[in-house]
Amino acid sequence: MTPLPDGNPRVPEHINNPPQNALLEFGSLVAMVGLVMAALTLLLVLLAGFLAPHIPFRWEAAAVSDVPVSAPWPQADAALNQLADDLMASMDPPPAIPVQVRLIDMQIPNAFATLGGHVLITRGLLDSVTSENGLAMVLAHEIGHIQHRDPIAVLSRSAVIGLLWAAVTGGENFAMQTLFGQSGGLTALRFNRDMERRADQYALEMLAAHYGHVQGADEFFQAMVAHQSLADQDAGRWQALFQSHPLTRERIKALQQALPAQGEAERRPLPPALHKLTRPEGP
Amino acid sequence: MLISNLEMVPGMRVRRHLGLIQGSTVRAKHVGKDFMAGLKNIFGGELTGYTELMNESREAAMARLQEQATALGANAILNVRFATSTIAVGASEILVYGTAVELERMGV
Repeated sequence: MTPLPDGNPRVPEHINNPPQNALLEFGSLVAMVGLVMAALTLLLVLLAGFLAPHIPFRWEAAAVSDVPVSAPWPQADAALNQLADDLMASMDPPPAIPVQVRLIDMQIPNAFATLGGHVLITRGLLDSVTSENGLAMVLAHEIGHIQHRDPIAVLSRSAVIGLLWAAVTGGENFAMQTLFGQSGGLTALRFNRDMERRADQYALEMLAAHYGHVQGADEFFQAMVAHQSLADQDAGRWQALFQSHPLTRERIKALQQALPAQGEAERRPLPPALHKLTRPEGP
Repeated sequence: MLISNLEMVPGMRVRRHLGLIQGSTVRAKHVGKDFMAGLKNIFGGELTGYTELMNESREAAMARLQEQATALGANAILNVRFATSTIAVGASEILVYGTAVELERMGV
Protein backbone atom coordinates (compact mmCIF):
# COMPACT_ATOMS: atom_id res chain seq x y z
CA MET A 1 0.00 0.00 0.00
CA THR A 2 1.58 3.21 -1.18
CA PRO A 3 0.99 6.15 1.11
CA LEU A 4 -0.51 9.15 -0.70
CA PRO A 5 1.39 12.38 -0.54
CA ASP A 6 -0.16 14.94 1.72
CA GLY A 7 0.89 18.07 -0.15
CA ASN A 8 4.21 18.64 -1.86
CA PRO A 9 7.09 19.07 0.52
CA ARG A 10 8.87 22.41 0.36
CA VAL A 11 11.96 22.46 -1.77
CA PRO A 12 14.79 24.68 -0.45
CA GLU A 13 14.71 27.93 -2.42
CA HIS A 14 18.39 28.62 -2.77
CA ILE A 15 19.12 25.69 -5.06
CA ASN A 16 18.05 27.30 -8.32
CA ASN A 17 18.67 30.78 -7.06
CA PRO A 18 21.88 30.74 -5.04
CA PRO A 19 22.24 33.73 -2.75
CA GLN A 20 24.97 36.14 -3.73
CA ASN A 21 26.10 39.58 -2.77
CA ALA A 22 25.25 41.89 -5.68
CA LEU A 23 27.83 44.43 -4.57
CA LEU A 24 30.52 41.78 -4.36
CA GLU A 25 29.64 40.47 -7.79
CA PHE A 26 29.66 43.99 -9.22
CA GLY A 27 33.01 44.62 -7.62
CA SER A 28 34.59 41.49 -8.99
CA LEU A 29 33.18 42.11 -12.48
CA VAL A 30 34.46 45.68 -12.49
CA ALA A 31 37.84 44.47 -11.25
CA MET A 32 38.02 41.90 -14.03
CA VAL A 33 37.04 44.37 -16.72
CA GLY A 34 39.56 46.83 -15.28
CA LEU A 35 42.29 44.25 -15.35
CA VAL A 36 41.56 43.32 -18.94
CA MET A 37 41.42 47.00 -19.91
CA ALA A 38 44.72 47.73 -18.19
CA ALA A 39 46.42 44.82 -19.92
CA LEU A 40 44.96 45.80 -23.27
CA THR A 41 45.96 49.43 -22.78
CA LEU A 42 49.50 48.47 -21.86
CA LEU A 43 49.76 46.19 -24.87
CA LEU A 44 48.44 48.82 -27.27
CA VAL A 45 50.62 51.55 -25.77
CA LEU A 46 53.72 49.42 -26.18
CA LEU A 47 52.65 48.52 -29.69
CA ALA A 48 52.00 52.17 -30.58
CA GLY A 49 55.36 53.23 -29.18
CA PHE A 50 57.04 50.50 -31.15
CA LEU A 51 55.24 51.14 -34.44
CA ALA A 52 54.96 54.93 -34.40
CA PRO A 53 58.58 55.63 -35.41
CA HIS A 54 57.96 53.53 -38.50
CA ILE A 55 55.09 55.70 -39.71
CA PRO A 56 56.42 57.48 -42.81
CA PHE A 57 57.26 61.07 -41.96
CA ARG A 58 55.38 62.44 -44.99
CA TRP A 59 52.13 61.02 -43.57
CA GLU A 60 52.79 62.87 -40.38
CA ALA A 61 53.67 66.04 -42.27
CA ALA A 62 50.49 65.74 -44.36
CA ALA A 63 48.36 65.42 -41.22
CA VAL A 64 49.62 68.79 -39.99
CA SER A 65 50.23 70.86 -43.08
CA ASP A 66 51.25 73.99 -41.24
CA VAL A 67 51.54 75.35 -37.74
CA PRO A 68 48.60 77.71 -37.41
CA VAL A 69 50.45 80.20 -35.27
CA SER A 70 51.22 83.68 -36.49
CA ALA A 71 54.86 84.47 -37.17
CA PRO A 72 55.53 87.81 -35.51
CA TRP A 73 59.28 87.79 -36.14
CA PRO A 74 60.21 86.45 -39.60
CA GLN A 75 63.86 87.46 -39.21
CA ALA A 76 64.16 85.67 -35.91
CA ASP A 77 62.52 82.60 -37.46
CA ALA A 78 65.06 82.70 -40.26
CA ALA A 79 67.92 82.93 -37.76
CA LEU A 80 66.51 80.02 -35.73
CA ASN A 81 66.04 77.87 -38.81
CA GLN A 82 69.57 78.72 -39.94
CA LEU A 83 70.89 77.62 -36.55
CA ALA A 84 68.84 74.40 -36.71
CA ASP A 85 70.10 73.67 -40.22
CA ASP A 86 73.71 74.32 -39.18
CA LEU A 87 73.33 72.05 -36.16
CA MET A 88 71.84 69.26 -38.25
CA ALA A 89 74.41 69.66 -41.01
CA SER A 90 77.21 69.11 -38.50
CA MET A 91 75.94 65.63 -37.68
CA ASP A 92 77.33 62.75 -39.69
CA PRO A 93 75.15 61.57 -41.33
CA PRO A 94 72.79 64.57 -41.14
CA PRO A 95 69.34 63.77 -39.67
CA ALA A 96 66.80 62.61 -42.22
CA ILE A 97 63.77 64.55 -41.04
CA PRO A 98 63.58 68.25 -41.92
CA VAL A 99 62.86 70.57 -39.02
CA GLN A 100 61.02 73.89 -39.10
CA VAL A 101 61.51 76.29 -36.21
CA ARG A 102 59.25 79.15 -35.28
CA LEU A 103 59.46 81.75 -32.57
CA ILE A 104 56.17 82.34 -30.80
CA ASP A 105 55.09 85.17 -28.57
CA MET A 106 54.87 83.56 -25.16
CA GLN A 107 56.59 84.75 -22.01
CA ILE A 108 56.85 81.31 -20.40
CA PRO A 109 60.31 80.08 -21.39
CA ASN A 110 59.73 76.81 -23.18
CA ALA A 111 60.24 74.91 -26.39
CA PHE A 112 58.05 72.31 -28.01
CA ALA A 113 58.62 69.67 -30.61
CA THR A 114 55.41 68.71 -32.33
CA LEU A 115 54.11 66.82 -35.35
CA GLY A 116 55.40 67.48 -38.83
CA GLY A 117 58.91 68.35 -37.70
CA HIS A 118 57.82 71.65 -36.16
CA VAL A 119 59.76 73.13 -33.29
CA LEU A 120 58.28 76.05 -31.42
CA ILE A 121 60.48 78.30 -29.31
CA THR A 122 58.91 80.84 -27.01
CA ARG A 123 60.18 84.36 -26.82
CA GLY A 124 60.63 83.91 -23.09
CA LEU A 125 63.22 81.26 -23.77
CA LEU A 126 65.44 83.77 -25.51
CA ASP A 127 65.59 85.69 -22.23
CA SER A 128 66.67 82.56 -20.37
CA VAL A 129 69.83 81.96 -22.39
CA THR A 130 72.84 84.22 -22.73
CA SER A 131 74.61 82.59 -25.64
CA GLU A 132 73.90 80.85 -28.90
CA ASN A 133 75.22 77.68 -27.33
CA GLY A 134 72.54 77.68 -24.66
CA LEU A 135 69.86 78.19 -27.30
CA ALA A 136 71.42 75.55 -29.54
CA MET A 137 71.16 73.01 -26.71
CA VAL A 138 67.42 73.55 -26.43
CA LEU A 139 67.01 73.54 -30.18
CA ALA A 140 69.10 70.39 -30.56
CA HIS A 141 67.08 68.74 -27.80
CA GLU A 142 63.85 69.42 -29.69
CA ILE A 143 65.46 68.31 -32.96
CA GLY A 144 66.35 65.13 -31.09
CA HIS A 145 62.68 64.56 -30.21
CA ILE A 146 61.76 65.01 -33.84
CA GLN A 147 64.49 62.74 -35.18
CA HIS A 148 63.44 60.07 -32.69
CA ARG A 149 59.80 60.52 -33.81
CA ASP A 150 58.76 61.21 -30.23
CA PRO A 151 55.78 63.48 -31.08
CA ILE A 152 54.11 60.85 -33.26
CA ALA A 153 54.88 58.17 -30.65
CA VAL A 154 53.23 60.22 -27.92
CA LEU A 155 50.31 61.08 -30.15
CA SER A 156 49.74 57.46 -31.18
CA ARG A 157 49.88 56.46 -27.56
CA SER A 158 47.21 58.96 -26.53
CA ALA A 159 45.15 58.19 -29.61
CA VAL A 160 45.21 54.47 -28.87
CA ILE A 161 44.19 55.02 -25.26
CA GLY A 162 41.49 57.49 -26.29
CA LEU A 163 40.05 55.14 -28.89
CA LEU A 164 40.16 52.15 -26.57
CA TRP A 165 38.33 53.93 -23.81
CA ALA A 166 35.88 55.45 -26.25
CA ALA A 167 35.18 51.94 -27.55
CA VAL A 168 34.67 50.55 -24.06
CA THR A 169 32.60 53.39 -22.67
CA GLY A 170 30.71 53.68 -25.95
CA GLY A 171 31.47 57.38 -25.92
CA GLU A 172 31.73 59.70 -28.87
CA ASN A 173 34.80 58.99 -30.89
CA PHE A 174 36.31 62.43 -30.77
CA ALA A 175 39.62 61.45 -29.20
CA MET A 176 41.32 61.30 -32.58
CA GLN A 177 39.85 64.58 -33.76
CA THR A 178 40.78 66.36 -30.58
CA LEU A 179 44.32 65.11 -30.75
CA PHE A 180 44.82 66.00 -34.38
CA GLY A 181 43.00 69.25 -33.92
CA GLN A 182 45.34 70.37 -31.17
CA SER A 183 48.53 68.90 -32.44
CA GLY A 184 49.02 71.61 -35.01
CA GLY A 185 48.89 74.25 -32.34
CA LEU A 186 50.63 74.63 -29.07
CA THR A 187 49.94 71.24 -27.58
CA ALA A 188 52.86 70.55 -25.30
CA LEU A 189 53.23 66.84 -25.86
CA ARG A 190 54.24 65.05 -22.73
CA PHE A 191 57.35 63.09 -23.51
CA ASN A 192 58.37 60.45 -21.05
CA ARG A 193 61.63 60.44 -19.16
CA ASP A 194 63.39 58.07 -21.48
CA MET A 195 62.51 60.28 -24.42
CA GLU A 196 63.85 63.32 -22.58
CA ARG A 197 67.10 61.63 -21.66
CA ARG A 198 67.59 60.34 -25.17
CA ALA A 199 66.92 63.80 -26.62
CA ASP A 200 69.40 65.34 -24.15
CA GLN A 201 72.04 62.83 -25.17
CA TYR A 202 71.34 63.50 -28.81
CA ALA A 203 71.57 67.26 -28.23
CA LEU A 204 74.94 66.92 -26.49
CA GLU A 205 76.28 64.94 -29.43
CA MET A 206 74.95 67.56 -31.81
CA LEU A 207 76.51 70.40 -29.83
CA ALA A 208 79.84 68.61 -29.67
CA ALA A 209 79.72 68.03 -33.42
CA HIS A 210 78.83 71.63 -34.19
CA TYR A 211 80.90 73.66 -31.71
CA GLY A 212 83.55 71.13 -30.81
CA HIS A 213 82.51 71.42 -27.15
CA VAL A 214 79.33 71.43 -25.09
CA GLN A 215 79.90 74.58 -23.03
CA GLY A 216 76.64 76.38 -22.35
CA ALA A 217 74.54 73.26 -22.68
CA ASP A 218 73.17 73.70 -19.19
CA GLU A 219 72.47 77.43 -19.53
CA PHE A 220 68.75 77.10 -20.01
CA PHE A 221 68.32 74.56 -17.26
CA GLN A 222 70.39 76.60 -14.83
CA ALA A 223 68.15 79.57 -15.58
CA MET A 224 65.14 77.36 -14.82
CA VAL A 225 66.52 76.28 -11.48
CA ALA A 226 67.41 79.89 -10.65
CA HIS A 227 63.74 80.61 -11.15
CA GLN A 228 62.59 77.76 -9.02
CA SER A 229 62.26 80.08 -6.05
CA LEU A 230 60.13 82.22 -8.33
CA ALA A 231 58.06 79.17 -9.03
CA ASP A 232 56.92 79.14 -5.44
CA GLN A 233 55.74 82.74 -5.55
CA ASP A 234 54.47 82.72 -9.08
CA ALA A 235 53.21 79.18 -9.48
CA GLY A 236 50.91 79.87 -12.40
CA ARG A 237 53.61 81.18 -14.64
CA TRP A 238 56.18 78.48 -14.06
CA GLN A 239 53.92 75.56 -13.45
CA ALA A 240 53.53 74.64 -17.09
CA LEU A 241 57.24 74.60 -17.58
CA PHE A 242 58.04 72.38 -14.64
CA GLN A 243 55.26 70.03 -15.56
CA SER A 244 56.53 69.45 -19.05
CA HIS A 245 60.14 69.26 -17.88
CA PRO A 246 59.91 67.51 -14.54
CA LEU A 247 63.53 66.48 -14.37
CA THR A 248 65.33 69.80 -14.57
CA ARG A 249 67.73 69.10 -11.72
CA GLU A 250 68.44 65.57 -12.77
CA ARG A 251 69.11 66.76 -16.29
CA ILE A 252 71.52 69.45 -15.13
CA LYS A 253 73.43 66.83 -13.20
CA ALA A 254 73.65 64.65 -16.29
CA LEU A 255 74.71 67.61 -18.42
CA GLN A 256 77.35 68.69 -15.96
CA GLN A 257 78.86 65.24 -16.02
CA ALA A 258 79.44 65.82 -19.71
CA LEU A 259 80.79 69.35 -19.20
CA PRO A 260 84.05 69.23 -17.17
CA ALA A 261 85.89 67.07 -19.67
CA GLN A 262 85.44 69.79 -22.24
CA GLY A 263 87.19 72.55 -20.30
CA GLU A 264 86.34 76.23 -20.73
CA ALA A 265 85.63 77.17 -24.30
CA GLU A 266 84.24 80.20 -26.01
CA ARG A 267 80.48 80.61 -26.25
CA ARG A 268 79.03 82.37 -29.22
CA PRO A 269 76.69 85.33 -28.75
CA LEU A 270 73.09 85.03 -29.83
CA PRO A 271 72.50 85.85 -33.50
CA PRO A 272 71.59 89.57 -33.86
CA ALA A 273 68.03 88.90 -35.04
CA LEU A 274 67.41 86.97 -31.83
CA HIS A 275 69.46 89.12 -29.51
CA LYS A 276 67.41 92.22 -30.18
CA LEU A 277 64.28 90.36 -29.09
CA THR A 278 65.62 89.65 -25.62
CA ARG A 279 64.52 92.02 -22.94
CA PRO A 280 67.41 94.28 -21.91
CA GLU A 281 66.56 94.10 -18.21
CA GLY A 282 66.54 90.30 -18.29
CA PRO A 283 63.82 88.00 -16.96
CA MET B 1 20.22 8.91 -7.32
CA LEU B 2 18.29 7.22 -10.09
CA ILE B 3 17.26 9.60 -12.82
CA SER B 4 14.97 8.47 -15.59
CA ASN B 5 12.49 9.87 -18.04
CA LEU B 6 10.34 6.78 -17.69
CA GLU B 7 7.27 7.18 -15.56
CA MET B 8 7.85 3.85 -13.88
CA VAL B 9 10.96 1.81 -13.26
CA PRO B 10 10.58 -1.93 -13.93
CA GLY B 11 10.98 -4.01 -10.79
CA MET B 12 10.51 -1.01 -8.50
CA ARG B 13 7.52 0.69 -7.08
CA VAL B 14 6.97 4.19 -5.80
CA ARG B 15 6.76 4.16 -2.04
CA ARG B 16 6.51 7.92 -1.59
CA HIS B 17 5.68 10.66 -4.07
CA LEU B 18 7.58 13.84 -3.19
CA GLY B 19 6.36 16.17 -5.91
CA LEU B 20 7.67 18.31 -8.71
CA ILE B 21 11.28 19.44 -8.61
CA GLN B 22 13.27 21.52 -11.05
CA GLY B 23 16.74 22.71 -11.74
CA SER B 24 17.48 25.69 -13.92
CA THR B 25 20.28 28.03 -14.85
CA VAL B 26 20.65 31.03 -17.12
CA ARG B 27 24.09 31.45 -18.64
CA ALA B 28 25.99 33.54 -21.09
CA LYS B 29 29.35 33.14 -22.80
CA HIS B 30 31.93 35.89 -22.71
CA VAL B 31 32.16 38.38 -25.56
CA GLY B 32 35.05 36.50 -27.14
CA LYS B 33 32.88 33.41 -27.70
CA ASP B 34 30.03 35.57 -28.94
CA PHE B 35 32.40 37.19 -31.39
CA MET B 36 33.66 33.81 -32.58
CA ALA B 37 30.09 32.62 -33.00
CA GLY B 38 29.39 35.72 -35.06
CA LEU B 39 32.26 34.81 -37.36
CA LYS B 40 31.05 31.21 -37.60
CA ASN B 41 27.70 32.55 -38.75
CA ILE B 42 29.39 33.83 -41.88
CA PHE B 43 30.99 30.56 -42.88
CA GLY B 44 28.66 28.07 -41.20
CA GLY B 45 29.57 25.12 -39.01
CA GLU B 46 29.05 24.16 -35.42
CA LEU B 47 29.02 26.98 -32.92
CA THR B 48 31.20 25.07 -30.50
CA GLY B 49 31.21 27.91 -28.01
CA TYR B 50 27.44 27.66 -27.70
CA THR B 51 27.46 23.86 -27.66
CA GLU B 52 29.78 24.13 -24.72
CA LEU B 53 27.48 26.71 -23.13
CA MET B 54 24.47 24.39 -23.37
CA ASN B 55 26.45 21.44 -22.04
CA GLU B 56 27.60 23.38 -19.01
CA SER B 57 24.07 24.66 -18.47
CA ARG B 58 22.56 21.18 -18.62
CA GLU B 59 25.08 19.86 -16.16
CA ALA B 60 24.45 22.73 -13.77
CA ALA B 61 20.66 22.33 -14.07
CA MET B 62 20.90 18.57 -13.47
CA ALA B 63 23.07 19.13 -10.42
CA ARG B 64 20.47 21.49 -9.02
CA LEU B 65 17.67 19.04 -9.78
CA GLN B 66 19.51 16.34 -7.84
CA GLU B 67 20.18 18.72 -5.01
CA GLN B 68 16.46 19.39 -4.71
CA ALA B 69 15.65 15.68 -4.77
CA THR B 70 18.21 15.01 -2.07
CA ALA B 71 16.76 17.81 0.03
CA LEU B 72 13.35 16.12 -0.12
CA GLY B 73 14.79 12.74 0.81
CA ALA B 74 14.09 11.18 -2.60
CA ASN B 75 16.13 8.34 -4.03
CA ALA B 76 14.94 8.73 -7.63
CA ILE B 77 13.68 11.32 -10.09
CA LEU B 78 11.19 10.10 -12.63
CA ASN B 79 9.72 11.53 -15.83
CA VAL B 80 12.61 13.94 -16.28
CA ARG B 81 12.22 16.56 -19.08
CA PHE B 82 14.45 19.29 -20.44
CA ALA B 83 13.36 22.65 -21.75
CA THR B 84 15.25 25.68 -23.00
CA SER B 85 14.41 29.25 -23.78
CA THR B 86 16.18 32.43 -24.75
CA ILE B 87 16.27 34.93 -21.92
CA ALA B 88 18.35 37.66 -23.55
CA VAL B 89 20.59 38.00 -26.59
CA GLY B 90 23.46 35.60 -26.04
CA ALA B 91 21.98 34.14 -22.86
CA SER B 92 19.73 31.14 -22.53
CA GLU B 93 18.01 29.16 -19.83
CA ILE B 94 18.07 25.43 -19.37
CA LEU B 95 15.26 24.04 -17.28
CA VAL B 96 15.12 20.41 -16.22
CA TYR B 97 12.19 19.12 -14.22
CA GLY B 98 10.89 15.82 -12.97
CA THR B 99 9.15 14.09 -10.12
CA ALA B 100 10.97 13.27 -6.92
CA VAL B 101 10.02 9.87 -5.54
CA GLU B 102 11.16 7.29 -3.11
CA LEU B 103 11.42 3.94 -4.87
CA GLU B 104 11.61 0.55 -3.33
CA ARG B 105 12.20 -2.90 -4.80
CA MET B 106 9.00 -4.79 -5.37
CA GLY B 107 8.65 -7.52 -2.80
CA VAL B 108 8.41 -11.08 -4.01
